[in-house]
Amino acid sequence: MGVLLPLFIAGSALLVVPFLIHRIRRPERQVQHFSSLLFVPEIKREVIERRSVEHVPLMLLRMLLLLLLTAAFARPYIEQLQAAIVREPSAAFHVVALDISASMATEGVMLAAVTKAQSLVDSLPVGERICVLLFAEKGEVVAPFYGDVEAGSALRASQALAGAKAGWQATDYTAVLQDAEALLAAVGNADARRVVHLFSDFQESAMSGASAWRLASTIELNPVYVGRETPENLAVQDAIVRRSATGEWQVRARVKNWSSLADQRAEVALVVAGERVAVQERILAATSASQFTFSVPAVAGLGISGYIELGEDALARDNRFYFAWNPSPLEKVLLLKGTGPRSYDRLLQAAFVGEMPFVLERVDRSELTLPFNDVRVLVADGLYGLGTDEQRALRSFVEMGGRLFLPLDRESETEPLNRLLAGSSLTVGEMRFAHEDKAVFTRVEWIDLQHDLFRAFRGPRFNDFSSLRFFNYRHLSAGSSVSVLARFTNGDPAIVEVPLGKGRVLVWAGGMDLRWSTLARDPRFVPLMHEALRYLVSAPVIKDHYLVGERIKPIGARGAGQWLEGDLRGERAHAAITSGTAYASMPGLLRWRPEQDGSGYRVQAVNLRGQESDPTRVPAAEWAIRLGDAPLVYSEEAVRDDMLRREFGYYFLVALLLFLLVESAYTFYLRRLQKVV
Amino acid sequence: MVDRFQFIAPAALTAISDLRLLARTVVAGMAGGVHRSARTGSAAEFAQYRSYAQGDDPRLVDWRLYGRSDRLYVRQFNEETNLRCTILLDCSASMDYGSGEVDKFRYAQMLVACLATLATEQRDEVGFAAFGSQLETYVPGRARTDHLHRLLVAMANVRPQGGTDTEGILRFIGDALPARGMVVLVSDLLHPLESVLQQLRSLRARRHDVLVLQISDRAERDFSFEGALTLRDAEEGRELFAVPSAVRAEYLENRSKHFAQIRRECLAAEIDVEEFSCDEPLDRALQRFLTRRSHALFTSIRRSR
Repeated sequence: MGVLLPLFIAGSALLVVPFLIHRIRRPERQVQHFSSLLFVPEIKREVIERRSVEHVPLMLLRMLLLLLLTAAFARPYIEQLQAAIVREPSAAFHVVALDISASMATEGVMLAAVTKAQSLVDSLPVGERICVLLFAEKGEVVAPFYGDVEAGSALRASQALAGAKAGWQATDYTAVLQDAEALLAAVGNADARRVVHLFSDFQESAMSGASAWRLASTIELNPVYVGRETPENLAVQDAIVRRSATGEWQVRARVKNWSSLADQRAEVALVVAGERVAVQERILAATSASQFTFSVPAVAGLGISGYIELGEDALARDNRFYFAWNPSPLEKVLLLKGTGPRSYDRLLQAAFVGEMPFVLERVDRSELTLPFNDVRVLVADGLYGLGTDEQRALRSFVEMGGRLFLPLDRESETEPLNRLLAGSSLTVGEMRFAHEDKAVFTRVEWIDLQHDLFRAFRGPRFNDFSSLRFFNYRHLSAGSSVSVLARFTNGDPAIVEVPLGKGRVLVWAGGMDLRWSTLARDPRFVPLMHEALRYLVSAPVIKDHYLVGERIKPIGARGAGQWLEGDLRGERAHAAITSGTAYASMPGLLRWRPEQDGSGYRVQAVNLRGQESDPTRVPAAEWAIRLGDAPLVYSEEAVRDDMLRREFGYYFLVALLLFLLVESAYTFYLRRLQKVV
Repeated sequence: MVDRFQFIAPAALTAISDLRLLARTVVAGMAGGVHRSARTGSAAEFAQYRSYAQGDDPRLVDWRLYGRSDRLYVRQFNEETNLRCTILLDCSASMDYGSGEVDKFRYAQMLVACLATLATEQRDEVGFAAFGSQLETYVPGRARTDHLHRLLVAMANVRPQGGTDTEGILRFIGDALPARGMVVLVSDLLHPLESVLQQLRSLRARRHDVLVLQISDRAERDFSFEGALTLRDAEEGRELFAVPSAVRAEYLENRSKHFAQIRRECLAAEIDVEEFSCDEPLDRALQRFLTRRSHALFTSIRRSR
């Protein structure tokens, strides 16, 4: 539109149109039925013209509207003319910041941005120094300020701009403005004019994390919008992998139509190991999202990785979403064989049949003194006759990060147990009753259902444990560091968790002895044991999905790993990690092998930040208000000008409405006049 | 069911109850009536003496005159007869216009009904014909009292539409009617006149007493529209842009010329012309018309004697 602006001034010539219309156009008139035109003479043309120009106020009103329209469209050009006249040529420092985030890869946007930036560079007066900064999450100087002030500065800047290409990262306006401020602060001349010209699509999503930081008030800000309004764009927002009940991989992808204007056909393909496994098609309504579900046969012990792909559209960069699922190594749980006359380790062992998320091993008491390699949890019932060495080994295991599940029973000896738990503020006491009587029992009155241990029992069908009868239990004295997870009717702790060193101990006061309680007969017994061990095992989550720009930390279950290779959108890159982390520069799949385990690879997916697909834009004026400082000379003018332009728009609309109102009233008045006979 | 009061206001009937629709000329009727007949008979009005001839009724011999002159003369009297009145109603689309409460066609219907009632009560034969571009309906004249109802029904079924062929209807009536009747043309006369006047003169030549009752509307007389507007002709549908204030004078002049020519031609042919305006109450207009006509009739008779 900028090219056409001068033409709008020429549009003033249109003022002659209402005049001509009012001269030659026949006015709106009513049709009057009449008995006969026998006596009515043919009216002469001169009479029509002479009478049509009678509505001079209406004609003037219409001319005024044209004048308003012309002025509204020609205003930027008028201002440019004024600025060109007023501006004094002086040495200045310009930072031309060009957005190369992923959203700028929208069809035609990058080319428009480069063209506009080059036009700006060409229009700057000779002698003014220019620095070109390409930015997304951070800025990169591709054409620095040169020491000389010769005209070559503009040429270098223009060449640097010509090589700019849209990248994969998200936008961070604060970071680039900080970089620009640092660049301008480094130039020596404090009195020189400093300007940041920022060419961007001004995504709203990039503003959400904006801090309270503002550009220095001595730096002028010139935001230039180069986006494209409502491009037709489909994007894969997310893709997750789950193991279905039938043993298949289920890949669920969420695809959104970002266009606010038109429905679009989405052709969604699942690609695994380089092959298009399945394709689904669906019509997506404007601004709506839909979930596409694919099923892939699973191979036991192996993971799955691949990507979801869409057809071509205005922004191709968000058409592919990578996913990866890696099998986790199973944690080892030791079940200590019972030594007492009433040991129920077999009962526990029977509770863990089938496919478990851990490996359960039953060990003798004698093995307690051996090193606990790769053991996560140890389950011990009562620890009858616990020796000093065994007690030290157990404590060492827990303090090193192990977890001890300790259901107490009649044979449990308090002294060794309290030595084991020394310093934990938990003390194991005597039994509640001297002997068990089926007529005398207590119940569980309170359970901390918010605790992760009971997460499976939060529903109303399962959360009532009051039907359980406890005919005996051991007193537990819980200090401040002890978490009580359940209490008996009289307030005594029933289940407690106590931290010890890096590990923790889960103690059940009522045990599982069938003579002590009805717990083992309850249908919830097995699920409760599963949940208890799941809670205790709880291996650290290994992150397999990253976003572009994030630091990838390849730490597996057994320590640091080493990068082997990366396959980023067809660009195969070997990226050995020396510092323990890697930088995800573009979407793709990364494979790496744990350092101490040569058994297999781990695949991690890197994807584009979803915010880059969001077409919501911020007006340049608002952007400047949010990131620029109000007293800025150039920026303030630009912002104020934008505000004024917006206000001018409002006033123009109001004037237009008033015009229509007045014209309607005047026309109505004229018709009333015509109707009067 | 058509009620005659649908067309005739009681006030109008009351106003004309004492008046008569009289023929200005001698007419030929089949029964006795109030109009002068071309024949002589036994009426009360003396006409002339005639020399006695063989076969004359001795009762008609004026014996007093014989005593004075010694010659036999027979007294002759003017016979009074009834009238064959045929009313022609223009039902072209131009009649369906009115700027006031009553349009021209409605006004004309009421006028026709009044005249028909008046004639029927005079025991005259009343016929009716409605015409536009062609003859729409024709009810031959009868002197029976219930004939009025038939005539009103025929008139009620007529709707104003289409163009006007007055010349054709006048030719048809001239051929259909015997001589010496009364022909009443009720029309707005908004059409070219030459051929119409020719046919009117032709009727007159057949010794018919011809009345032309012109119906007009106030807007037609004043042409008092304002602003610029498109006028649409009711009969032809033709549209014409007009600024009435600019063309009013010319319009009025054209109209005045048109009707002046009608009046002039009609008077020359001894055709009575009367203008009825829709904005004037019918009873008053009818009373004025009949009074004037009766007065003129008696004046002419007196002069002829």
